Amino acid sequence: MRADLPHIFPKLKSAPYEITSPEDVKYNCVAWAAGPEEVRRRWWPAPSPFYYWPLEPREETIEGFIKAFGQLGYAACDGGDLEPGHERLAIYADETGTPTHMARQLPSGEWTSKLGELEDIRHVTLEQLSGSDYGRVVQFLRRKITA
Amino acid sequence: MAELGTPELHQTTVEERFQTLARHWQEESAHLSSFTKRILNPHYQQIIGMGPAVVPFLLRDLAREPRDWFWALSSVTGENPVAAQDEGDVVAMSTAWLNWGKQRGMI
Repeated sequence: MRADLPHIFPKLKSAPYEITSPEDVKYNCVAWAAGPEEVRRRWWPAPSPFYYWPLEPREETIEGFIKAFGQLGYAACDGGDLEPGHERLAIYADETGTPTHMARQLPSGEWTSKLGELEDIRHVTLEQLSGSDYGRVVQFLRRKITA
Repeated sequence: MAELGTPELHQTTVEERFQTLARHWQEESAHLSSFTKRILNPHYQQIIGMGPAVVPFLLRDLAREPRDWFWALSSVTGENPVAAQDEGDVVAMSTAWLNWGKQRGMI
């Protein structure tokens, strides 16, 4: 049975969104943020072998996520505005500052998110997924697009 | 019909309890990517707390479809049959645990 996304994310309907994939347990939001080629495994700084993580030590902190995505060429930046020639990611964190979710910016300036083991969605604003479970966006990352 | 205290009733009770907890965990955690939040969910913790009796039901559920029972299986059994190169690969981890269960006659 398909999950009731507006029930889970009360702000989702504050702007347009579109479901862009079926549910899939094989990958999660961080894998999807790392890129479509990572949809065969789940990423999280959890003990191996339960999740994949690109570096050690595995730190479930914003700094740990910045370091991990530094392996992919991303660096911390300010703001989520669309910037030609660059790709952006957003990291959500809860009230303790612990990461909860990542979204990837699309060339249109909209965002794509994998919702745990549920569907991927395309959403216009990052605020649409903010709330008690994902918290709010606390960090942006960017890298230059290489041909 | 099974009588109170018979193995059949015990099995049914364990399975029903597992299915109820699994359904609640799925409802509350399916949208989460955080390993920590997923396994610290109270329903997931109660499944771990059921101990060795729940292992066959975790494996049968895995045989139906890959699900995130790997931490629970490892916590309850103290085993880890997953190869390091398969980390995060739900399909490969499911296969490893199902092979582990078959070798022990659990499924």
